[in-house]
Amino acid sequence: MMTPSTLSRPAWVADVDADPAAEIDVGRLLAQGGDPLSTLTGTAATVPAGRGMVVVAPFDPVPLRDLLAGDGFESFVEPLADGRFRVRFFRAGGCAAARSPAPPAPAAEPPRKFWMDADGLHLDVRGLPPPRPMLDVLAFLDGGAHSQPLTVHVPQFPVHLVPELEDRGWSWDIVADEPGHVILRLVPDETA
Amino acid sequence: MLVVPLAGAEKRLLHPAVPIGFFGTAVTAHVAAWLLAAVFPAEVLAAGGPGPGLAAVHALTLGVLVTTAVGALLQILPVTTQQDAPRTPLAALVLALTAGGGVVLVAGFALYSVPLLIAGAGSAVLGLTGFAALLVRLLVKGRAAGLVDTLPAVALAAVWLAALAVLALLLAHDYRVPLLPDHAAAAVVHLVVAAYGFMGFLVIGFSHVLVPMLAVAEPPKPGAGRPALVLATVSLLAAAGGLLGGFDPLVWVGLAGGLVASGLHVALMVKTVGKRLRRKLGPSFVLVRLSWVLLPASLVAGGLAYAGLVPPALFAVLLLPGWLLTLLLGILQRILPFLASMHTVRTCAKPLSAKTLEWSLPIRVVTLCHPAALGLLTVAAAFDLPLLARLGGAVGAVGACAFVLYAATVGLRARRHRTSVGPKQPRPVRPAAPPPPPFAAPPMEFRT
Repeated sequence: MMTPSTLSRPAWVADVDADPAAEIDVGRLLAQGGDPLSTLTGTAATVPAGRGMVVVAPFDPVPLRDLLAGDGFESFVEPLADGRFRVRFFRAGGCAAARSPAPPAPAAEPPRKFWMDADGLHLDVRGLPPPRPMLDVLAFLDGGAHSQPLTVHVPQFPVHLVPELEDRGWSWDIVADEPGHVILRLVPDETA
Repeated sequence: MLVVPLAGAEKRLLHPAVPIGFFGTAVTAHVAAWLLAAVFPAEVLAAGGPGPGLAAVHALTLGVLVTTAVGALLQILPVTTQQDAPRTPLAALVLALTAGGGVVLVAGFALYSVPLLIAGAGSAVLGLTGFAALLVRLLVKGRAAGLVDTLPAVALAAVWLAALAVLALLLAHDYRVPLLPDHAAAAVVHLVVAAYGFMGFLVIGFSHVLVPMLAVAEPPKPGAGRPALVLATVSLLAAAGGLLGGFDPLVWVGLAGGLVASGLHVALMVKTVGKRLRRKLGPSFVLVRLSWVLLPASLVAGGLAYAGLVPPALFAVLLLPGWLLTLLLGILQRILPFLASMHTVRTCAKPLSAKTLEWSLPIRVVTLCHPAALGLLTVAAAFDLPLLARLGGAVGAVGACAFVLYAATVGLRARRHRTSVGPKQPRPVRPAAPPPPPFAAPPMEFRT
């Protein structure tokens, strides 16, 4: 993953801008009540190797960049003058092993992980210093990029998170409860 | 922020009977304190002793404030510093000595009985000594938790606790055999050290944990509370020294420093709450925010009272039922359901959300009655109007009864839930998850 603050603009960005395989406005998807994450991952699956797509979002879509990095996409983010973000995704060679390695996570804070499973998006906030697990889950949900069921991996049952989820219209259930690893399934109330 | 490490939580949570004992005592003493104010308003405004006035004051301070602080500390410190909770018999002994001593002390004041008063003070000091021993052990073992603003404040609070306990014993025995050159000055120092020292430093320390937890906000940066803590320490030493030595400039330096320290603390808390993720702060923060106004107001009233411009009772009202009780009611109404929820995690087949345990109606009554009672008592103290103080005591007692109802509801709902879902069973282990992809997300920006 690349950000303007850490790396200069890669050469492939101009190619993607000139001939994107797809161009998606996340703000429009959100306004239509769609689920941007599944739409974007579905579209990304159709992008061939050597091509890319452009995403314009009201925020830096970190979970999406994480997910697509696992599918061999490099990404480059630029803030726009209107406060939105323009993200270019480029499928380098179609092989995850061939792509350049992601930059290491900051040593001070263990990494969070997003991944897609058969049951949807997973978010793992174990290992983060408190209160990051709770704050990160809420910040992700409040970001509005995801409105489908979410599986959250936390270090313990999040007593303080649960009322906040309920306030935001998310139902919760415990999938697994092991020492140091509690898995919660969060479902927005309208799809519960 | 308060972490809830429920893996191994059995050892970090006190037996439910212990917090129930502490908080049950506190909410009961809360009713008693307001009732005493309603029945003996003139004595409460006079605040001399022994007598029903000091009985009401100690029902509030020892019965409500100290009992809650001790119970909360014995539960919250092990959880935040991830260590074993004190053993149940030791915590129960602290409760019995402190609460039992408190009852005898209040009775001694109310009945003008010096022997009872001395016996109550002795028992309470014994209980608080036991508490201090448990506290020191928790602090030493909890150093690795990195609570750089909380633990030093709690350690200093323990020092102030020792000072207030010594003064309490001297004051009690001074009724029997004159020991103190100036009983009234020592009594004021006892009040100041107890309220701004012991309770105040606990407030400074635990606000860094509890306020972000309740507001769902990023805690202040480590060390952010240090200026307020250092300034408060120096100011309190100056004020106490000035009061005991009769050296006015030192008292004024202490007051001014305390005012600045309170401003620093409140500004930090306001900033913390300003960056919250919790959408509706609810009635608890009505009281918490009111307490943030009352803290500096109490110091201003203290200065005016020291200058002889307002009655001393006004200072005591803004300090005790004002700043400290208001803050405590705001925090406790959220802590109780969270603690009960944690116990449902530990003991029930399915945990119950803290929100489900709350009954909002009595809390609305508390949120109306407490500020109203405080307002009435403040006006009564300012203009020496016992009738208004009586009305304030009655309104406060209604609010206190509502709080008892609220606390009881939390406990009953948790118990009913356990009966409904049954005890906790070992959960099936989740099927092996596919390995997560080898990537990591950078820290997410907050967009609130």
